[in-house]
Amino acid sequence: MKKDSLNTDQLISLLLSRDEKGFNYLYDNYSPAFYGVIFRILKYEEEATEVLQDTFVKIWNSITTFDQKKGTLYTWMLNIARNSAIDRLKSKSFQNDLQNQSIPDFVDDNRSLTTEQKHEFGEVEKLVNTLKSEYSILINKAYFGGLTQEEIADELGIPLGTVKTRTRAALLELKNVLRDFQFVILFILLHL
Amino acid sequence: MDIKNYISSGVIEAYVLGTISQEESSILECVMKNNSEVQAAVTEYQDILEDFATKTAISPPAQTKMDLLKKIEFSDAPEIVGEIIPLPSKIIEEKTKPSIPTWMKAASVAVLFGLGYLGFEVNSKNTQLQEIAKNNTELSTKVAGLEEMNSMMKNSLRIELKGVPNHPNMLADVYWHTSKKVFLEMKNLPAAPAGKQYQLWAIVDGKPVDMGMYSAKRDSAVQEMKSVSNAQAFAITLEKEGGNPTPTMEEMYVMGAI
Repeated sequence: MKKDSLNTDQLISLLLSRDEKGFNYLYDNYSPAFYGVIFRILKYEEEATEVLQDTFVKIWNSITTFDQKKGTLYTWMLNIARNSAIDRLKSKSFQNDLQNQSIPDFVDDNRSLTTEQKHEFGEVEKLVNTLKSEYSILINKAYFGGLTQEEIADELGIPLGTVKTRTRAALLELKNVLRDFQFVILFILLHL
Repeated sequence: MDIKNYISSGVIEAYVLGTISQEESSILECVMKNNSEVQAAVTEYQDILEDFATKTAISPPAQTKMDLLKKIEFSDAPEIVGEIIPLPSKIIEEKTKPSIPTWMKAASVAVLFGLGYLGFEVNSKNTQLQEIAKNNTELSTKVAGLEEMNSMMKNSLRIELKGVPNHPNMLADVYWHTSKKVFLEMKNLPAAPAGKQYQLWAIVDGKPVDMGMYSAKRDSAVQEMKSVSNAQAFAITLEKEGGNPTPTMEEMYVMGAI
């Protein structure tokens, strides 16, 4: 992703002035990151693209409430994407649909994901799976499942304190894995 | 709790993963503002998650952007800039021959007006719909807020804070929730003058402990303050904006013991 041609301040001021260029820049540079998070949470393309659209509408309409003192624009937007997806995941209608639909899109070869997307999705899986299983399960349940620490402790049958210390370790481990992950991608690109 | 304990309590990880309650988030955001160590820890984790999202990106289907563009309103569409080309004069000569009957012209003008009106109608109905939808969301947010407030009050100990001799008849209520959270409702205290704010104190083992500032700007009358696990009394003083580390006793308005 090329995030360097506009800096954050320039992007924010374009968004505030409701400039179409700003929107295009935002979409072109950030939609894959948001879609990655959303798709991993919902696993169905139709739902995921709807939530992706909602995310951009929300960002577009509430950019005035973004406060740089609280964190970066990227994190703020990622939280909107993730929270929208988690809300959808927990919604009654989605849970009902889940019961009627048997196989998530990413498993179904004939639908939804293009080869390129499948490759991308596979990379994510690979990345999370490089983590120790006790860590990847935490990241999956908390970040992609929207469970609270208490719910995770209940579900895994481990003490809340353990969930807390493991979450910390999991995030730091993720940081290390991500550092290597760059090289993995680079390696794949060079050998194609 | 000191800052080291706070950082290692797991609250920051939970915050960046979004697994804690709104209240806990607000508290953390408040602590973050005043403490660079906590701020740095939060930033570190957020960087990790940003990196994670960047490196695990999936391109959405191309059609999505087309669909989305229909839902977004931009500021004025870019002006179409073009040269002005004078009409060749022979067209004007040709035009003198009447080719379309007048009744047809009249009819098309009428149809045009009709279409214009229809467009206007559809547009205004759309705006109305959007407004109704917006009102609906606002109302459900309010209802959710009220429900939360209601359940909060049911599980709380209510402590009535009464006016001290300098400020007789003043009243405020503190709700001390079983989860140790503290909520403050100002009853009839006058609005704080410019540059001043009301500050809530808990008296713990005889010492005043800061419980946070009452923000006049927020629209809700009941506000969540800091949590406290043991307190013998609560009191409110008028302090400079942002508060003071210790209460100004002459500026005490109300207090109440448990």
